[in-house]
Amino acid sequence: MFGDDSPAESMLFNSFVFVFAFLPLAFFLFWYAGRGVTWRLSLLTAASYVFYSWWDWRFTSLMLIVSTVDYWAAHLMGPADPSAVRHPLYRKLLLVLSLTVSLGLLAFFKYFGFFTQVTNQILDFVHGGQLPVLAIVLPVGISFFTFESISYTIDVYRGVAKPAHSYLDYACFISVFPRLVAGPIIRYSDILHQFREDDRFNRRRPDWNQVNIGLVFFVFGMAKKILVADRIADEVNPLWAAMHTWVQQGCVGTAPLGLAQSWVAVLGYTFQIYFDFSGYSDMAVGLGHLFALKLPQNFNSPYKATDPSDFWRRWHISLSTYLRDYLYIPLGGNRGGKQKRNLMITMLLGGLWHGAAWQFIVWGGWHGLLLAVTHVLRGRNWLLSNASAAGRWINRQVTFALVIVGWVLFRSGDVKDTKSATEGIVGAKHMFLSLLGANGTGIDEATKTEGSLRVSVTILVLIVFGWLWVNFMPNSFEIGYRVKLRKWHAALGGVALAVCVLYFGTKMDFLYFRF
Amino acid sequence: MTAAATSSEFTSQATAKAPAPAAADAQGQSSAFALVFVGSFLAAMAAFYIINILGNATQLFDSRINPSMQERPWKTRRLDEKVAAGQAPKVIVIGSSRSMQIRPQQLEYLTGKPAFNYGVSVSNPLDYLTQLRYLLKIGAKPDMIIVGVDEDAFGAPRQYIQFDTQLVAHWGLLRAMPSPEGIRLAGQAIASITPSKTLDSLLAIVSREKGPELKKSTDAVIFGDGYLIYRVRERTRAKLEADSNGDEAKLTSAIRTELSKLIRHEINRRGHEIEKQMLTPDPRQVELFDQFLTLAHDNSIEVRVMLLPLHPAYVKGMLDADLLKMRSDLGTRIAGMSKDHGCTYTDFTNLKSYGGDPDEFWDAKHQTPANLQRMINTLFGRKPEDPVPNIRPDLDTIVALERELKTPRKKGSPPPTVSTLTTR
Repeated sequence: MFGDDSPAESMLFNSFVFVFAFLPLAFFLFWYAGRGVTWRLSLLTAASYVFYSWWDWRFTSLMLIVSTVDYWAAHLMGPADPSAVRHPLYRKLLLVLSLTVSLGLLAFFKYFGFFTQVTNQILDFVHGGQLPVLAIVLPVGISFFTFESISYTIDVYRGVAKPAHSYLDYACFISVFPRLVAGPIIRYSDILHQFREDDRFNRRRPDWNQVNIGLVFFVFGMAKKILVADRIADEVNPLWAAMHTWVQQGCVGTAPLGLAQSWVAVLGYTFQIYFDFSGYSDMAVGLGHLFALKLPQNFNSPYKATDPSDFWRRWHISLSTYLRDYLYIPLGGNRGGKQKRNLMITMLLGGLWHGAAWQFIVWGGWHGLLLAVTHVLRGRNWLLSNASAAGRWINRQVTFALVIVGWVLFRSGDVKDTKSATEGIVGAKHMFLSLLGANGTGIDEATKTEGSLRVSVTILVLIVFGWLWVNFMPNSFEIGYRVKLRKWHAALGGVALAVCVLYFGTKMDFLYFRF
Repeated sequence: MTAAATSSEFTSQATAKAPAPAAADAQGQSSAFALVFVGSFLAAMAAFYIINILGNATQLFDSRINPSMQERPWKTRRLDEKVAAGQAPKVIVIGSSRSMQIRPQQLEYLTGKPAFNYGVSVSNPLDYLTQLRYLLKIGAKPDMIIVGVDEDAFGAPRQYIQFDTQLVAHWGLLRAMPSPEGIRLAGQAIASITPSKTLDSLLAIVSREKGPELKKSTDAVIFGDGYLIYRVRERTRAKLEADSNGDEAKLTSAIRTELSKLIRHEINRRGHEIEKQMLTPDPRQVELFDQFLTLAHDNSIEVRVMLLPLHPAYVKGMLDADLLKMRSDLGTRIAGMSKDHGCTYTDFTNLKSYGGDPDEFWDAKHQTPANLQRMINTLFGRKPEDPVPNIRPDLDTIVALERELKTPRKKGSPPPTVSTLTTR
């Protein structure tokens, strides 16, 4: 109703319709319009489908398909019990069916265009024909809920999880809206006990402890996203756009960004993606608490990491543990002397998960390389020790610099335009050259530039703030679960949320909605 | 799954787990925190919105402290004053900026009745209907309405929603708007509030009200009768005249060169696709236009509908055969609707139909007062070149206004009634 909340856009947490209509109504109905597990699961599922259909109701069919196929596949599989009557081949076939549906949907909607483009490039090279390129809409959140569905059936197959208690349980797990469109990626085994095995869904009234914590997480995440990430985006998006446009036009003339602008663009994005994504995850955790769910931590001060493997224990934790459990370990993990290979494969595919474009694969490969090298250096005891504060600090800054290199690769292309996949690599190359001052304009030209390419005091302040925050502040989990909440915190939080709401008219999408 | 093949690269989420439940219980089983949170949120929101409505930095609210200087609310307030003074106009011009230089003075001469130019930028049937409803509501029923219709006024994509939102900035206009447009635009106005606008609104509340001012870049100046003068464009033409030293051919060449640049710029800016979209009638806009004609007919108001011209060079450069047909079909449709409601319809898309001069355009779409005067003369069955007595040249009017604004005003005397726009 307000602003740009038209049905053509997904319902964002930072939107009028969500904050003023959907959330209060869903909360009220969840806690006060009925009670018992069935009511709560039903309401949550219905609300989640409404939430998703706000973007495009047709794509709720994907969630329905995934929910139905997986539920019945796991149900028919039964538990992985030697005494069970189901033949192992039968269970395997059901698993294959489930994986085929989930991966098939993901492959079609997310990767068909990319693979078609790559095939056409090959065919073009061998002077063959051309496959038709279809313009396929990427359903919001498909990367997340298909991964969750895959984890469920594999866990049931392996005997790690029991089949869902009911179709409603599973449908709720797949669709539950706080983490539907951008994670964290949750496992059914984590959520099952919250639905059924403790009394949280059976409570008569809200657990106000949890509601209070939820409000804190929600507003904290909202502030990170709106007051920091989006403000950084206002300043650095024009810089990246200028570089992208120049690359698209064939890199004619001097590169548009000088030394200072390039560093601002890169550092700005480094902090933007952290505050944006961790802010969303905080909001998701907060919303989970409002509805009696405890969602896992997804970020644990990643820029405090002291080496690349530590980084992946702190960044997008739900994805990295997923890749570990369902890709890296099945490949063999660190056994058989193939650890480096397995790391590289895992990270390449992890990069591909982020988007159907070469720059994501290269980004994944970069992190795979970092992990492999870290393993080698650790094996030879060549890593600087973290025992001393100085050693930890140096390791942290070196890791930070290596991560920044990855973000240049990650950001240089336009995720919506697969045609610019290779342009993304070219753009990254020129950004690196600009960072080294080797691409045309120097610092003097950069500071003199007018308009959208100018380096403002605002972005410099934001970058300094970002650096101080990620290096010295506790993260949201350390704050949210440990601080004794007072009423003045509540008042401050309410005012902070109101300030955030004032920015809703100029809202920007969450970066990870594109994945 | 076995846990045997774990690696130091990926470990479980061992760090920074949530603290033990005892710590969480320490928050207390109380809804007071949540109530304070929600209460302070709502109080802060109310305070922010009140500040924005009163201070009106967005210029989209009906504020007494900082009245909106946008065209729609500003012109409506002028009408309110006239009605309050017992001088309600009987002849009203509505339409877009392409109609805003139709002189009320000429209409008064032709009809013998007080006139007002109620034209506003990017006007469309939503404006026509809302403005008429408002006039009727305040007891200012006109005898005649002249509607200058642009060929893109019925266009589907509302690319200029920021203009429509101006209707919110006058409470009477907001209430006169049809639903759901009124609700949607009110929401749009609320969504336009930002922290910086809130701060500006707060400053506007505490600062002293300034009178009208003419900045160097101010081009459009609107007067109390709704008439618009393009200050910068008048000066530009005057300079071209002065530079030509009385050489008509040189002047004509200079004007045409200037026009050609502006027309080319508009063609490039607009593009074929946008033009096509804007020539495609939106069913809702057609419906609103029908409601407007019906309302006028039901209130015995004479309506004269005109389809306005474009510069021939723009037509040639932009409108291919398909687009020309679309414009023609739109004209036929408007003509049919006008006839059905007892209104007159005149197609002025051909300059020759009213003796229009292609050099008497400011740009691809906006005619100078000279051409508009010819058009209105033709509309009233007179010869295009028939003079209108006592018309002061617009440049003289602007010079006088500038002088008046620079002269210190006597204490208590009101400033000149003008609205100045720096957006064009």
